[in-house]
Amino acid sequence: MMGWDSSRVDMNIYTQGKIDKLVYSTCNICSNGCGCFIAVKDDKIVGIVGNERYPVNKGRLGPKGENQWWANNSIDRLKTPLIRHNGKLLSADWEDAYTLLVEKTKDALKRKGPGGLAFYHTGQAYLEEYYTISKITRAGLRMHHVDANTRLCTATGEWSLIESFGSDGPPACEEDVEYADVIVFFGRNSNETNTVFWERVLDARRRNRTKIIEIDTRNDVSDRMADLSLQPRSGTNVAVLNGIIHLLIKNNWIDHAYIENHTVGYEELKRTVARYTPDFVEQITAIPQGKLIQCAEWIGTSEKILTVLLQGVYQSMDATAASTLVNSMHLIMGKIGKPGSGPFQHAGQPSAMSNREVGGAGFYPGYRNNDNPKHILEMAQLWNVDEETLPVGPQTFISEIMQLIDQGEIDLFWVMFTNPAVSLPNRNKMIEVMKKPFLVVQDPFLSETAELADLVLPTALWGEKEGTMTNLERRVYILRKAVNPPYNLPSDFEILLEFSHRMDFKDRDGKPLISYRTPEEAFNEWKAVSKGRPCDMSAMTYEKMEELGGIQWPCNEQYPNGKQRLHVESRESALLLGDR
Amino acid sequence: MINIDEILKACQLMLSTVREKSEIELNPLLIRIQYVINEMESHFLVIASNIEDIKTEKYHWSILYREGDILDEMATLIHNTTPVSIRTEVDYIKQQLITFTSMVVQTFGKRESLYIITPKFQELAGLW
Repeated sequence: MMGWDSSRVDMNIYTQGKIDKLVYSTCNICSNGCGCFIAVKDDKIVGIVGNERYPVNKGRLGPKGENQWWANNSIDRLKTPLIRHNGKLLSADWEDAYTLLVEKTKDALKRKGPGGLAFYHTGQAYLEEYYTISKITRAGLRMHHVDANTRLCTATGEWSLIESFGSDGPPACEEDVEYADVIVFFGRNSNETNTVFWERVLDARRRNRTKIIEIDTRNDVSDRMADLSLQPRSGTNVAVLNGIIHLLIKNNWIDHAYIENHTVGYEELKRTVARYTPDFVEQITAIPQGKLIQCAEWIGTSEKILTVLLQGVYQSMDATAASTLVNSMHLIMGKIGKPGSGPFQHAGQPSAMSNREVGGAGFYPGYRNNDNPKHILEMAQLWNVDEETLPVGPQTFISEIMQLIDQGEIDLFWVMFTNPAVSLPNRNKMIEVMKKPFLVVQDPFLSETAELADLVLPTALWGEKEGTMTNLERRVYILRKAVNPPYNLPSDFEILLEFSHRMDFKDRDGKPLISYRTPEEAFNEWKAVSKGRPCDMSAMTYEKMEELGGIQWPCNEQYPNGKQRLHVESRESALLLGDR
Repeated sequence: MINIDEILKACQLMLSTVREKSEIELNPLLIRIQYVINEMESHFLVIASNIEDIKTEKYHWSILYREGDILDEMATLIHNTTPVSIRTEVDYIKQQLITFTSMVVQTFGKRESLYIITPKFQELAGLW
């Protein structure tokens, strides 16, 4: 069994006297999803301790993870809802806040129909919350204008997986770090942004002499620690990858049997990259020819290679094309679906993966396609609503939503757990646009966006609510509630349920559209929805997740404890066909 | 009735404006939009040639409405980054696509049309 060399329990607890208890949970900061315990005293969070038995981190925590609980105790947290009166946000009670929210929603629906509403949310909520958003916005409000900040984050990773494999789902896993001969970091400064993962990589290098290649426009710390560092000009990732693939083909570092049996479009790829000689690539990218050749040689001649990618690819020019080329590079070498090999598209935020899985934004739950009549029918049956009532076709991207708000088409804009006044491009313009509709903001703090709102709904934070998330390797894990939220604040989940109840959303039998009352009940409904889909979680339970330290989907009758790697079957069938 | 000559004229006008600008400004959006316009032209041409196979017709209409979405979005992005006056032509193409929605609904029925006409054009046409 491969894994960390050793465990090390990181902790950050600040209290006088002994703590009352440690509550099992998982870190909520980044996509690594490290196991931890929340330290509690007098119903307050007073610290965090790494979970020594958790497979992802073996007790380690990143610096942000160690300090996240300070936010729970911040004196800046909102205590009550706020409603704007005569230009000023004033404290209000929950009854008035819910009444206003429902009144304004109904008003917008009456005047403009579902097109008069827009919902913009996050990559940091819980799976059960995203699932509820999906159900309310589609089967309840029947709206198209739904998006999340994941659009600005890892939507590229999702689309590249769809383009290459027909479905979302990163093929590799964290354990591959220990098996790989070469790890390529593409646009991913792990040293500073995912310290626990980076430590695992350094551990593997110490033990196995794993080579690290960094491809990044910036000369950051990770670059300086790499065995080989390529610094392309900004916006030239596609040329870099075309150049590497050109050399792989030219030197016959490819797997012909795998290409023949499991891929399409190889000849087109070969034609496309034919002109990307090291000389031509140097002209475009400024990468010296020798370095590109060495990089291709390490990738091509190593038995096992893992390519990790993140925002340096996702948020650059021709992002989806570059990200898809990483998949193609692995496919033509047949280096996928086996220990130590595969493209590993990381997520940035802790639950961007959950959002994608349950259809919080973009697709229908379980990676079901908005444009596929069969999938729409399935969802109608699963939710017990008329097929005709479910919205068909793509959801509206945030850029388009903002344009529609600007044009006066959208009357109510509901923002949940994200801060577009800071994160959207063209900030000054966006701030002016957000002043136009009735703006609802759900946030624990008075963020820059909340300051613009007409209605602010404060919420519970991590440790004050229960639910699940999925990390960057498809591992679904449980985050337990450790303390009661201060000021009796509701969770995002509870706000959504209350809204659904007050809007009186019904299924086709006249029963409440949402019948579950707890996150666990919501998860159980989602499990049934996920059955038979790529992200099948039908054999998961909260208890099992806690017992196993998270479970990687698919998890079903065939894989009761989850599955580490995707596309293993194609690998096995290639071996049977005489592959190397 | 599809006035293919007028549509092609609008496409050509957009292309020449964009190409002219590309010569003095290195803007990837100006390169990309040319591909979208070229593709639109070819699908319009196929539609105008009175295809007999209804499945093929559905396929081309579906692409055209999706390209209509992209064209509109790209035109806005370009407008936000550099002064290129193609909005009139983009609006003309959009208007044509809106006009064709009733024909599409008549040919394919409401349920099928939901999968052909994008939500944006359904809304712009005020279909239901």
